Amino acid sequence: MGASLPPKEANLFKLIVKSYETKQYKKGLKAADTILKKFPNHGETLSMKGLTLNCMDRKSEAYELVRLGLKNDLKSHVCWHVYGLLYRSDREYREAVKCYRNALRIDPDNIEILRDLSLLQAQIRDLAGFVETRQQLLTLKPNHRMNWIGFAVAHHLNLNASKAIDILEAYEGTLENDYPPENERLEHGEMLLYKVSLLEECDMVEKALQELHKKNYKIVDKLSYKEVEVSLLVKLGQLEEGEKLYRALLSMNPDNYGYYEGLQKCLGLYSENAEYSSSEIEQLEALYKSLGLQYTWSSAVKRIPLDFLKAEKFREAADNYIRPLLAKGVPSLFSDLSPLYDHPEKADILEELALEIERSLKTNGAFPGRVDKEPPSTLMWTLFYLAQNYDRQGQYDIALAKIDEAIEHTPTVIDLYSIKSRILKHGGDLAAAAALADEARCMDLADRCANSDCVKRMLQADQVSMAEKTAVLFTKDGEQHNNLHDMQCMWYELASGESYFRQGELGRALKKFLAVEKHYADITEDQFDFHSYCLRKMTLRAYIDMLKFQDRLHSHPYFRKAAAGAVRCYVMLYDSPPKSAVEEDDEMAKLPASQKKKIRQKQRKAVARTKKEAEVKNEESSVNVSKSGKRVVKPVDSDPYGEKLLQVEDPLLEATKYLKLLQRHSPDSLETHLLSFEVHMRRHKILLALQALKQLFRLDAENRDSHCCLIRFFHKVASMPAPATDAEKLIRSVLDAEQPSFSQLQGKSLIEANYLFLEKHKDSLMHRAAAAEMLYFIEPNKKAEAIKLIEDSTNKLVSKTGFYEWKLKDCIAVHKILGKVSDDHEVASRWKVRCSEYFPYSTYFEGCKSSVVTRNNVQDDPVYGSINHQEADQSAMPLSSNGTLENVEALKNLVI
Amino acid sequence: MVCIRKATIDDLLAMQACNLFCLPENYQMKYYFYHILSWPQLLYVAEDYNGKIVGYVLAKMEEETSECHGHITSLAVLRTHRKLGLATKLMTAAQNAMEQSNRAAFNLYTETLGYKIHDVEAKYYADGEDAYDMRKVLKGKNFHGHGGHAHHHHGPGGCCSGDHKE
Amino acid sequence: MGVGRQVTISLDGVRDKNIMQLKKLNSVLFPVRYNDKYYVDALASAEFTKLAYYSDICVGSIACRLEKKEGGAVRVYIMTLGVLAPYRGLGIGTKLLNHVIDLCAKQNISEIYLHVQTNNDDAIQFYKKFGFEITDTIQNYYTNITPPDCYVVTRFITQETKK
Repeated sequence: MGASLPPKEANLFKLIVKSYETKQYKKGLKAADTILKKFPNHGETLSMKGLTLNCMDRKSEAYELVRLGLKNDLKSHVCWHVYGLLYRSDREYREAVKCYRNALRIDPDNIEILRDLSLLQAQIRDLAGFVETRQQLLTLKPNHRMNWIGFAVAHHLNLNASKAIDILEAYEGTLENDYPPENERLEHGEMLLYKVSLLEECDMVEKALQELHKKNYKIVDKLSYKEVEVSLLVKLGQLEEGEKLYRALLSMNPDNYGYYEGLQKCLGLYSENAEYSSSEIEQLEALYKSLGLQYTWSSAVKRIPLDFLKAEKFREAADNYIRPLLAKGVPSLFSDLSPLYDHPEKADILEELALEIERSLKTNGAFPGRVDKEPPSTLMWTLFYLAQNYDRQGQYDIALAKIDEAIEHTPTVIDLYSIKSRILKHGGDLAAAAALADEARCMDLADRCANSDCVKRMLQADQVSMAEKTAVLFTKDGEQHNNLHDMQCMWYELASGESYFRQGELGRALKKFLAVEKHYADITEDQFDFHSYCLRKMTLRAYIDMLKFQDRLHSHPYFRKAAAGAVRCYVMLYDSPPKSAVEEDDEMAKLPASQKKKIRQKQRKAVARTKKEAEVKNEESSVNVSKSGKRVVKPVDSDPYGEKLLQVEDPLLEATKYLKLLQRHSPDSLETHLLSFEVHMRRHKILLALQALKQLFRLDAENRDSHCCLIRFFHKVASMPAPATDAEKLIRSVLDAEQPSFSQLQGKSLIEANYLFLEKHKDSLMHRAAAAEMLYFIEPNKKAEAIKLIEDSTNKLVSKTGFYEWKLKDCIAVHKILGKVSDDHEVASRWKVRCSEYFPYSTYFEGCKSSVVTRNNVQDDPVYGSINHQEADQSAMPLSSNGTLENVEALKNLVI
Repeated sequence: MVCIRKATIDDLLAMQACNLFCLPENYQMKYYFYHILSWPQLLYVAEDYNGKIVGYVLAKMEEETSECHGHITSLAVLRTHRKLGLATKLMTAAQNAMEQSNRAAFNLYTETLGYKIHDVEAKYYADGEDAYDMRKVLKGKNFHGHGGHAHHHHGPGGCCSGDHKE
Repeated sequence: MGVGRQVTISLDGVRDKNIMQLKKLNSVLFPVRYNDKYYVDALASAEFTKLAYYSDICVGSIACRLEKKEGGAVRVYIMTLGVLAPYRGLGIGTKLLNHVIDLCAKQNISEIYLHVQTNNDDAIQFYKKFGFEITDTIQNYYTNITPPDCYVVTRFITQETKK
């Protein structure tokens, strides 16, 4: 390095490198400039200067200098290495690998470059290359622990676990008998546990157990030791030993459900679907009774039996379970029991129990059959439970009555308002739900949970700017909104993206969805530093888990939602591109003058506001220079409305980027293929659309959307002109070959297939609506029949208590379908009136109990109303100068 | 009711979501990676019957000094799941894990926790129950509430990792 | 109470962040709505305004205002004292009032007073138990309730009562 320089400058060059490593960039820059004064063309110095500038956020200069440096000294491994580092910092991994390889051609045994190369290979999962590089490193420096471990890990990742075991054993062979020293015991123990996991992976279970036992005294993490040991024992069928160990683990943590499951397995009392014979149930009951005596503090031993007990036994156990929790006031009781509601008979029993308790508390303040009085709050928590019980059953009327009663009993409990908000949301009154959640939030402004809940409800009600103002109350001062983004607050970004999408603000919706997508790219990048870190730390099992996690990262639901959201935005953008100025003017011309003026004024105001916001932000973003010389620039959002995102040449092509990620990582999600179908139909990529259709039928052939896609697809195929070119002929031959694979169409016309589908699913509203929509699609003249199909659907009562089968969400969808099928206003409004009966709380259908009709729950009450606190009503004030009124009524009742 | 178990790598996203939902001190994903890849045995989660993460504890060992310290970086329980003693159970689990993997006597320092406890006591734990349990744990095991809530993203340093945001 | 379960009653201060709890209580306990000054005074009185928690539920409050008398001495005016109906008879009101009396003793404040409607015998009896006495009657104090008159009920704290 710096070899061609005289001694003084060579020392300066070393200083540049050192300054870079210690992040003292200014110092490095100074040294570089000193050298360059004398040797302006010195390639390595130019390169290092460039690399230093890169860390000071001067990207374009950096690339210029690094490239110039390389041009001046193509034979320098330093220049190539630096070029690679520069690419690597911009996540251009493949380019970086090329540079490193060039550097290694010049200096094949350079450890530093080999190490950097190996990190990149791990990052991009070039596993064969990773093995090779790791081997070179080990050969060069066999006395380094890290090189042995790295070589083993490389083989493991490259699906050669047995080779990895050999390497670890060879490594152990190099160690003294009294290894490890005190300060390395934890690391060494981790390595041994890793080796055991490799043996297990190679199906050498017995050997794994032997190894574990043999190294017992060297493994520090005793909990992991036991957990590994028990899983090996069970695998080997040594169930008695396993049972003992699970009991030992339970005595350490009696709240770990996994241990109970393991214990049951060892005792031969475990079934995947919780179905047990009566003798098994008896044994389980006895087991948990004895465990309960041992672990009195554990809630698990009390809760688990509710899963397997039945009928009278269940009633008794449930009763014993819920009473103390109601008395104590455990707000999550209902959510804890909610899985039991999947079994109708258990749901009935739970409801009966709660009602009995309510009755008994109301009449004599005690639980049924008891004389001791319960705390007064018990009744309130019982009502709280019942409200959720009825909410779950879809009986919003009763649910609201119960929760209102609870609020009247004790109006200061935040949970009551949160649940009332949720009930209203389920009932379809989103605005009222948001108002209630805000009321809950105001009752404890220090509680971020209440704040987040409220933000969520506001976004559901499409009150995005209110939601944003509320959310930032909990972010750090200063750059408020960005903090949510910096901290990767994805639920918020997704929810506001969805809301913007519903409101047709595609730019802002896209911005939010793409922000989430960016978080996932960052998370992928996050692993980079850990490739070397974990080899040092020896946390190998966690490291391997992390790599596997990264490989499936993009199948996470948040990513799926974001990518699907982005695709939907692009499809919508394609279907209705933003209006050009001319078109807008045309539309404006049609409006009356007064309205025109109003709109123009509004627009002007909006523009002025945006400008002002931008100015303020610019002022805030004055550039600070920190000690290290790195410029700290607060980024200014130059595109707050996502307008630039909308100016894409080909929205559908953009959509395919995200579609590919969905196809690769969420191939079993129906939505993936629905979106793929929509995109490719629009792009006239008929074979890709066919592929999507086949996937839909693989996942769910009876799904209404699958059916609609089938009809639409073959309708389009039928309308295609006779193939002319070779390519078209090829497509046609594929289609002809594939069509028979859809049994629905065998020997039937589309219209017949549609009727058959209807016949098969005639009791399902959504399927009927799909058939109707497709009927109208194939034969528009059958509009009346299509409408009748939908209107003849009957909403059946599901339970004795008067709750209907149809879901609000579905009915809204059907309303939209009716709007599409018929331009007759009457039809849609008939549906609306009908649904307003089923969903009295729905604002969409303007139900009689919804806030659009009653204005009940969204009034701006100054006491509960939150953000704008107004003057309190003074009409009842006393004439005294005190300006206050001592309460009299309340004290009258005050019995102390 | 709620399962207390060691966190796995698959829990991290849910832990981050839980943290963002209920605490004012937030961290990027990399910080969670840093924890689980440094002290995989010291992260615990509370998982409810529906598989949702409703609480977690993020602990670490301070190894720079010769004496080994335990540190609680962050402890959270959703308000919907209070009054189950989850904070105490999570703390106990993390603490047992530290004892299991450490021979020397150690002190457990808290950062966020010190702040959180103050907050907790002032608010809905006014019945003193959870707060009391927590104090008991703290006293018995030499906790020192810092009161402050400084936290740093001192992940492993790579030569080009300077772009990491605080 | 349930078997072996003693519910804790504790007091907590009123702050910006939880003042809505006090408003909620007042909205159901008292037939009037208090103006901003009431809440400003309550916050300013600091330790003299308290919320009472039954387990972790806020069920009652005492709200006071500190007044400067001529000569600079401070006296305490109790603006409101109330407990939610289901939680009465549990000693919560006593605990709240005792808190204020004790605090006055500690801070050498010698006078606590309040207004009570003349026909509110229960309240008068309640306060008398704590050493309050009727010191004055104000005619037509209230506008829209009958009787419109009120008593001024005062407790003087002398050296002897201090512990």
